Amino acid sequence: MSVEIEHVDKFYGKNQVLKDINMTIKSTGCYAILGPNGAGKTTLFRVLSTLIHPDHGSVKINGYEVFREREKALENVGFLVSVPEPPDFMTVREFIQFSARLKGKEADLDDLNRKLDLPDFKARCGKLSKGQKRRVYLAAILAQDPQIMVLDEPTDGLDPIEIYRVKNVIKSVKKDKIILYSSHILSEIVDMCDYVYIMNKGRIIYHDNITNMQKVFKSRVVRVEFNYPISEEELKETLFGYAINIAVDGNKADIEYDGTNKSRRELMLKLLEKYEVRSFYDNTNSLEEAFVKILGVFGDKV
Amino acid sequence: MTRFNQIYYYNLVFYSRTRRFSIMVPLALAISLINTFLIQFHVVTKPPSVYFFTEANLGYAEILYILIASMFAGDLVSRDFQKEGLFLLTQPISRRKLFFAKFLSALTVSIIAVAVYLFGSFITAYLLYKTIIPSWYQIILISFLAITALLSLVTLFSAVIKSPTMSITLSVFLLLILFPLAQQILQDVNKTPLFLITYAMQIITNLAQPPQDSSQPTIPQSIEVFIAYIIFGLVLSIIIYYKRELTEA
Repeated sequence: MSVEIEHVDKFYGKNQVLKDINMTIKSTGCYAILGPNGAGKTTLFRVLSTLIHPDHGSVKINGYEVFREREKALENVGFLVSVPEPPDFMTVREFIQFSARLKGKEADLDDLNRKLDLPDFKARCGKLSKGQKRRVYLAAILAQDPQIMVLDEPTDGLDPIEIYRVKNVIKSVKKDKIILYSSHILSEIVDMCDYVYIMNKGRIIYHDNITNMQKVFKSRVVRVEFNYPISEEELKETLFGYAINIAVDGNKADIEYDGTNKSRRELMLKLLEKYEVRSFYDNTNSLEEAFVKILGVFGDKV
Repeated sequence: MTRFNQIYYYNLVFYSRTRRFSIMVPLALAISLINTFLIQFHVVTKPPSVYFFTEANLGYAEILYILIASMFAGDLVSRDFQKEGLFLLTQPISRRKLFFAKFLSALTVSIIAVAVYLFGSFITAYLLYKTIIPSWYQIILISFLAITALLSLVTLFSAVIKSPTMSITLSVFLLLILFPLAQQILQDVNKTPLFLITYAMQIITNLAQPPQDSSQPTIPQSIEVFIAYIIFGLVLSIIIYYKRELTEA
């Protein structure tokens, strides 16, 4: 089970939308593709799914080149790329069964219904709501039981309960599959994915597992809340040699330090020596922050 | 069932549930019955022989076949470059097979509509004259070839134009207005418009004439034109279909 992308370039006219993309995935798990709008995520997924041809480079799935050996390469892949919809003229049952049979499988409709709370199997897909269509489409992909799933913003347009269901399904199948997952909702990525590729301006600018990324780019700012308002000048004097930067607002202060645990501990002790501290916590430690930092660090280099 | 058959069946289901199918097939039957009704209600006099009656009945064939081809193949390729293509084009089946499966399903429903029209025409002829013209089987075979050629040409339009609505509209406009206009102009200057499919389709009414009448185009000429259109339309369409990228849906 593998996805190998080597030196892929793609131009739309003179505009290069993919620049020397390289990606090798050989073990199961959920791999997030993150990036701001226009980063090239959807274009990359469209190349993978053979909807568009790269200008240079090769894309192999399970060892087969996707354009030269298309039928073998796509045999074990399920794609949810862009904003696909099930065909209006088919019923829910017909579409899911059609999808499964294209891969020589039989759909377990009851199981899919349990996982995704599907609409009435006899309903025409054209009559469904956006969220229902998305769940039916996802069910059709799952019915194919592919080894590799390429999911481009699969929760887009879903309500919170639907998102919860979809996330649970993905979590339950990722142990045995390679899942390539793009989303704008970073909390979803943290919740489900094991590895992250960050794209910007057509390039992959960073990749690592999610835990490492959060560690490397973790917050170096602590927010301290005092029992009374304090002076910024006084605090700077107190923490001279311990803090890099200080910003005070009433009884709250954001204190930047060098990020080590030792400095953090010393900083806390120093504050407790002199002030009545109500709370002391890392300002943020989110993937959003890491993402923004990575774009800041690497974004200009591309 | 092979993937080819799955896609073929999928498209048959699509056509059978479209409004165009539920309109075109009854329309084909209604057109085949028009002359009989006009005779029965004494609006027109009954033609002296089954040849004249059948020729008059088949006079609608050209327009009807063009409408059938435009309705069933006008979006054959362009439909795949909308949202629907996001599913079909990412399945493990070559674009060549995908194309032919779709083309064959469009051909199947078109042949059904043509068969209904011809069946209606021959049945009414038999009811009125207790006989049908001896060239009935040639008319059926030539009609099937003509509809295949028309479908190939219309498929090419649908491959060139991205919007399904536009490709259907253009097909109807070109085949119902531009081609007959070009044909008329060429005939006015004494040139035989042999290369025009609409001219070749005149063989259908020619075949309904009594055997002693010989007129242009001949059967071999028409067959050559139809085959040329089939090859030209399908080869170009498949090349475009193979190379086209789905960048917008």
